[in-house]
Amino acid sequence: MAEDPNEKAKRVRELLSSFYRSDESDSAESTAAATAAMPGHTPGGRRDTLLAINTKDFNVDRYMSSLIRRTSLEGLLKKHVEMAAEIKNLDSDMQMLVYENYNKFISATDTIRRMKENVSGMETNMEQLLDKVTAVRTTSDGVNASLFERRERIEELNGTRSLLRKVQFVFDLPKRLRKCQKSEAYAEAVKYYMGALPILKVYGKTSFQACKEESEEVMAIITKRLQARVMTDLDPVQARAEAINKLVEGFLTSSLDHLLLALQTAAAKPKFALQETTENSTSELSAPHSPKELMENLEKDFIKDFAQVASTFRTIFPMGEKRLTEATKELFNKYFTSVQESLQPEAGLPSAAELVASLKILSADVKQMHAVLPEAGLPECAAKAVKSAVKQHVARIFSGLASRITGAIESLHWPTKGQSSDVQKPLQLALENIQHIIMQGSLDVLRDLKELLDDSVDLLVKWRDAYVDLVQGGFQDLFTSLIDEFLALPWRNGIERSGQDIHEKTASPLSRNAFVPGLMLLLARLSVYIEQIAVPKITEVVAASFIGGGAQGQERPAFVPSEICRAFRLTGEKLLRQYIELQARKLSLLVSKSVAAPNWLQYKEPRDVRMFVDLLFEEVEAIEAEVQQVLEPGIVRMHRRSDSTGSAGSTRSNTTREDRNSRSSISQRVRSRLLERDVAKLFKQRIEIFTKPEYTQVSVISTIIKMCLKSFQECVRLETFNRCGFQQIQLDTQYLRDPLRELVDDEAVVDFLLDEVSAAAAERCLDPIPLESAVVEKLILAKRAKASEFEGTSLQ
Amino acid sequence: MQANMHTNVSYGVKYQARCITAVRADTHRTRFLVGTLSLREENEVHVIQLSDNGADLRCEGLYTHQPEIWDLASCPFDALMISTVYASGGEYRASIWKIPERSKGFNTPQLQQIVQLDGHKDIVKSTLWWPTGKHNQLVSIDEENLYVWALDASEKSAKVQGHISAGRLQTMSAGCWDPHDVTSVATACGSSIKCWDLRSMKQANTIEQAHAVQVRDIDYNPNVPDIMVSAGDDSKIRVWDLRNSGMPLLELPGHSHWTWRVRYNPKYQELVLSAGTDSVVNLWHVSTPSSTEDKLRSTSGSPRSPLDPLLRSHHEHEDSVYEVLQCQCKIYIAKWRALCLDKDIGEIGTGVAWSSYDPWIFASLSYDGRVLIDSVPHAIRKKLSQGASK
Repeated sequence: MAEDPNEKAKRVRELLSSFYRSDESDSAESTAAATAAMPGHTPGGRRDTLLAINTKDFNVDRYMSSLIRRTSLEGLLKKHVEMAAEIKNLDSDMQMLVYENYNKFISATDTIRRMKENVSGMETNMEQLLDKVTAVRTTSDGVNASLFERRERIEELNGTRSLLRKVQFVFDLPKRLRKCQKSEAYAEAVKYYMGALPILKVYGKTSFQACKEESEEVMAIITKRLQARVMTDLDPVQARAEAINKLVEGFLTSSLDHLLLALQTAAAKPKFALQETTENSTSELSAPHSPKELMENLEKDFIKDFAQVASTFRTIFPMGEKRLTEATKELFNKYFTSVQESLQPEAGLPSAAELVASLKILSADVKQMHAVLPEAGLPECAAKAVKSAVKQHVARIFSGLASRITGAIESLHWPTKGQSSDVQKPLQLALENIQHIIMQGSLDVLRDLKELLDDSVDLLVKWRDAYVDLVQGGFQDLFTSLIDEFLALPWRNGIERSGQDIHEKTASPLSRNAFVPGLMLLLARLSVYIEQIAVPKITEVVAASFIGGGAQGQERPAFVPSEICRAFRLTGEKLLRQYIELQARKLSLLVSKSVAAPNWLQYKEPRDVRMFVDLLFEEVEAIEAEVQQVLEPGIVRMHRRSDSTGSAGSTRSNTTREDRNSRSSISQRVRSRLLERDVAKLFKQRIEIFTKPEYTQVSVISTIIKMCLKSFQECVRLETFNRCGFQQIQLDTQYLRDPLRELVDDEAVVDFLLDEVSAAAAERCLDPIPLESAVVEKLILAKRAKASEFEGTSLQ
Repeated sequence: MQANMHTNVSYGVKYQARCITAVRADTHRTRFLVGTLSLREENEVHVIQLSDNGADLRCEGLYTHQPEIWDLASCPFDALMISTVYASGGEYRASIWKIPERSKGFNTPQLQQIVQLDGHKDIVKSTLWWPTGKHNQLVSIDEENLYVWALDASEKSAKVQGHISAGRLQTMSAGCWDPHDVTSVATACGSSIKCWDLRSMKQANTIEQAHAVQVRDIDYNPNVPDIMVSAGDDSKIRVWDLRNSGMPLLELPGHSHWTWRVRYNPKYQELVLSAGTDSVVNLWHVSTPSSTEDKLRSTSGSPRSPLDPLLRSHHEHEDSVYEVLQCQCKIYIAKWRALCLDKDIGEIGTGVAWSSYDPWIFASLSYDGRVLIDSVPHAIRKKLSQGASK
């Protein structure tokens, strides 16, 4: 197998060599060399041909042939791909190299050309330069030679002279210093010493030792004296300044900063004073200093010291102004915070009088300080502090008032539980109490704030208008927040109630919730009070003392009484409406239950007025009790009892009813029964059922009762009655009639509505034959007797 | 076109009446059905039609329906088919009726009973037809139960397909079939609103304490799913988003006594009509509830900032706004009073229905049997049409 390919290769090689004749000898040689290198091992040689692709004597044909012979088709293909990739790589490499070389070549030619151009003009210039330089040199040499001798001499002499003078000075130094010390001319002394100091430093340990020691001694004395002078406050400022100045000059090594530090410690003294006073005030909380006292303390301790220090500093360092200002500012920040703290007593309402007093002191102080230090912008700081202090004061006063009012309202939630027996009229008491708080509180606030305005402190004058705005805005905010509170309070309780419906809580919150309608009524009444009495009064006072305002370019004043009034009127109306709705719903529920419960088609003959009537009266009484506490009685439109005694009234109503009943029984037979009814209605007074409620007892109760009766009518309309059922309704309505007439402002409405109820029952009755009026009368009387008896026993 | 004429059109039924409905299948004419409620007389169903010029209301047919009619509903696909809820001898029933072809005879013809929906034991409240298009399903509601019926008009039979019991002490008073999801029916259930899934016959959704007392009526928004308006004995009208039923989107003050009916306009969802026992019909403008922006806008007034919560709780600002509306009502009541020789306040609005033909017209029926046709004022129409075209 191996020989066949060999022979085949040989034959191919021969063919190839015959074709490439020129290569023949080479290949023969190389094969010869290869075989010579590895004798007897042709396959090994062939293997070599495969590896020798990078060697010098690489033979393409042999490589090819051995490759073809030895590798499979797959291998060949792979090899092909590999080689193609390699060739490509080599190609691109080569290209790159060529390109780079070419580039270099081009740049090189460029450089050469440029060099050639530059060099061409240089030759002549160089020659000229050389000539000049040599000329200069010869001249300079000549001068040097001529002057050399004399100059040396002069220099020598000069040096000796100065040295002699210095030595003289140093030797004289102690003497001079002493002289100065005697005559207290410290400035001179320092100057001399300064002059000698460098020499003494250099030669102090050798030739001038004695001299140095002596002069140092003297200087030490001088320094001590100067320092003593600085420390004694008694010396005139000028002297101190001098002393420090000398010290500065004397010890330049100790820098200005060092001295500043000294000064700052001096300034810190007032700071301590400041802290002390504040500490005092905090430590003695039980008997706190009044702000005024505190201010006085501050003034004494701090401001005097400060003024002194500041003026001293100024004289000493005319240049150090900036630093002083900085330090002062820092200091004053502390000062003002402590001032503000002192203006905010922790407990109780601060009175404006004290505020005014302290503000006065402050303004005087600030003036004083400003005179000392005009650059620090103290008045601005002070104004800022005062402004914020006053703002806080106003805000606190108003929030105090607001919390008092809301507190009074909220405290109403609880009292009924325990003391309901001895506090008969919690609502009334609360109403009076809260009214008093609102009115008196507002007036107090105004009086208090007015003091601030009257005692016009310098600092306050500038923003008087803003202050007025502040006060007015305070009232505006107070009232708007009250409105929100009013509207939110019953609602909040309502939420509690609905939550309770789900969770079935115990009885204690229930009793509180029973109080919700009352609260609503109270708030409604309060709204009216604020609208009609409190706000006008406050407006009056405000107008009298807080005129002006509108400084901030607002188009409207901060306090708009008309707006507040309107808002309160609406709030009041809403609350009243809610109250009425709530109570009417309660009654309606009672009535509708009473109508829905029985089976009217199998009703037995009525023996008595039904129980729900009693319950209804109980509820109405409870409402009345609530309403009486809060609202005015109001005018009754019709005369109640003046024109008719009780029995007469009832008989009269009986007759009218009988008329109607008989009419309806007749109309039963007539087809146009409805027309009949319409005609009957024509002759009756048209009744307004749903009128707008007023803030009177009668009006509120009437509205509630009207709503309730209307519900009664609607419920009856949904039922179907047998004769007895109808008679029962007739009896109930008849029983309700008189007591209800007592309660409402317009009897006609009650009559009308009760007639409607019984007419509705008649319409919905299969057999509407009414009870005899005598029977009705008898049953009602019996019920009345029983009720009064019950009342009597309950009273006992 | 004929708007000005509408305001004074009325029609009287000689008995008391509680229910009026528009003939939904009749899209060419404005027709209404009125059922009377007379305990002791023979009751009638009146077919009344508004003339094309809108000037008068004619009786097109009068049919005897022996027992008193408590509720009336017209079939959405057959103008001659109606369902009634009626009571006789204290028992409440529901039936499907066919209006006989020849209606103008000397004797008032009888309604032909197709089928009676048997099975109710409590007081039946209403029947609900499939909300849109032709379908044989029907729902009837009594105080505690809800039945789904498959009606076969030709066979004259109805089978119970499903039954839901709301449970004891859950007085259902009204219902509404969701027009956006026909598998859901909502009912006013005591003081809450409940949605029932007709596939599983289970409660799907609920709004607890929708009103402080009994919920009287509910209606789905015709254009936006999951929005619903409700009215109750606390006199309030509330708009709800069923996906977020904790708080109403909107509350309208409603009426001075119970609010009995509340209805969306079938075309313009901004218009809501309500009727109450205080004899007043109110037309409300309810802004498109895009669920988050529950702003309330006036019928003719300026749009208010939705951010101001005060405006929602007080309605002082709306006083003038509602005035427009009330004014209209007053005018219309005044006119109506003039009819009654200025004496009667009567009871409008135990029934209210929008016309199916002209969305601007609405009718109201008072307990004493008076039908009144009114229409939305021009200014509002214009505004709404513009809004719709935008």
